[in-house]
Amino acid sequence: MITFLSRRLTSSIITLIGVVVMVFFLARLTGSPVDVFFPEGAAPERIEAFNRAYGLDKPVIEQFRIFLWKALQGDFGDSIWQQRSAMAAAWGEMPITIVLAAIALSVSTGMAIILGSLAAVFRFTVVDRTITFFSLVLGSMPAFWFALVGILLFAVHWRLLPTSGSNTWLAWILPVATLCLQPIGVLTQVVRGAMIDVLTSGFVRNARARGFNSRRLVFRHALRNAALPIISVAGDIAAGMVNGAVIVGVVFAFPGIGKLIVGAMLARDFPVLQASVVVVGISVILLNLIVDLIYVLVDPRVRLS
Amino acid sequence: MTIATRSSQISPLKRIFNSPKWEMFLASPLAIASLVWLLFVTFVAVIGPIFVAEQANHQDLLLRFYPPFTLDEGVSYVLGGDSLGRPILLQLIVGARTSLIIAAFVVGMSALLGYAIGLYSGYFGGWIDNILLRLADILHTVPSMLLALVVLFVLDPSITNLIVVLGITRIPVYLRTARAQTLEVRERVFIEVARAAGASHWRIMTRDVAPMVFPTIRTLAMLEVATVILQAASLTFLGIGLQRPDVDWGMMVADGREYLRSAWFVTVFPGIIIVLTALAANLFSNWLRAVEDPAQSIHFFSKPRRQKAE
Repeated sequence: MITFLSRRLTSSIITLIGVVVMVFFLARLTGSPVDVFFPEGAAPERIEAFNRAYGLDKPVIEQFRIFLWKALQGDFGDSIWQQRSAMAAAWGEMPITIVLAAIALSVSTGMAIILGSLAAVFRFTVVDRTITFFSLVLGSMPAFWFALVGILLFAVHWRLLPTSGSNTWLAWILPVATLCLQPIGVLTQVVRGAMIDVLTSGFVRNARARGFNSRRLVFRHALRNAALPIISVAGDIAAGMVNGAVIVGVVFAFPGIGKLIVGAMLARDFPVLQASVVVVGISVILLNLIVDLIYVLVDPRVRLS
Repeated sequence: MTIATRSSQISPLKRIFNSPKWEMFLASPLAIASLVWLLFVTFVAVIGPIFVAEQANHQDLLLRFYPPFTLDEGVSYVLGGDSLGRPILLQLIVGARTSLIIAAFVVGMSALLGYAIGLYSGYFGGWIDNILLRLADILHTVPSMLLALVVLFVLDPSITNLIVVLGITRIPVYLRTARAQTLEVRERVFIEVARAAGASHWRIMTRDVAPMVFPTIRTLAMLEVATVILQAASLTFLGIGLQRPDVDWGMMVADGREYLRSAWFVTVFPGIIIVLTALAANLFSNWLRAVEDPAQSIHFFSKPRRQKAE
């Protein structure tokens, strides 16, 4: 158990360093912030002073050495546009994205468990076909288009929900729905497959032969065994929520890391961009560690071997 | 051996029509519908732009936001006009070519590279395997769209750049699968026999291991088609990767976004086409997967009947 954890931790740290290195070179490729920050024909002295202030006048290798050394101490420099450190800007936007993702993950997992279990219990019937088709339709919908049609119907046509913002709970409905789209599509199929495997296994047949109550059997015993495949894809799905957060940030102007990243990219705010991608990387790595831990805790077979 | 030689004498078309898969195909209306739609979109994407490319980009400001479902301005305006008075139907046809080219090349490139690297990595192992796996992990840690977004923002907007960047972000999917399967196949007895018979590593890898891994990669690639269509559309929707006069369906949705209140159809129609195409790809690969899994394929022959709840 300890060796398993330490091995996972070491590989996570190596991955993280890789992400930091990649981010540095990617951000350098996006052109100089000078293009955005100064109007054309600005005084060369001012540009030079700007470059010196942000260390842009040194050779790339030297910039990289300084960057890496500081990054290891958690310092990604100050935002070029906002008057605060890049790391503070990135972490500041994380809580609302985490809350949004957590709500979306709970809603979609709940829906997927209900739909997937129903499909498995009534497998190869009309119920199953309908649910499978429905989940495929959800999985085939582009999130940005769903979001726009949501605005069109609920905000413009029926005037039930606001088009943007995050102040009232009503404003959260469309963003959460947008983030749920893909996960429900994927998870329903995973739950269905796992439940069919369990329901056709020996121990369920045995329990039924002994006169066990059906509903209790499905929801207490079968579902618990079907949890493993669900947990193993939950990490990937939660990581995919970042893609959704970008869309939600652009379409609904919903605050969070997605909006910050798109904004930083358009403004060439290197430090914020670097810090955000690293923060997203750390979150995804932590998430995968937690998923592995839960996996080990839930399944005694993994713990023992 | 004899079976293999005999079946190769029959023409490939006959072999398809005589196979149980074909019967299962005919028994599944959804599979037929999705294949027909995919073939139709491909046909339109290949042939269509030859005839309508010029008309599609013809701007007529009198026909800005021309309402859909009337034939007064001819068939080309049956789905309305966009913000510059271009016919939406013809734009969709031209966009189909871009969207399908991107999807086909991204899937092809990432599947091929992932397959080859995964085979090599799994077969030889060692430090190269370690490094490759670590690289795949890093690619996996940064959400693929975020990575594509950051890289494509720098590069000049072009279909080639979009294909290369999206393709690279999708490689790890195949690499991991191919590697895991290779590790398993490598330990089988027939590989040991081939090695004892003096076959070279290259020969074993290409002749013995690769064919065993291929079906999984093929299934995976089919599943990835829909994912890639959606991802490419998301990027072009965000205004990254493509530039006029190139157009794809995601870009068309973005064009309509500003006029959502006054002209809903500019946004809605391209989206419907994306949904239909991704859905068809999903349905077809779902069917293919079910057919290739013997445990499930039985049910395509048995009539659907209500099973007792368990």
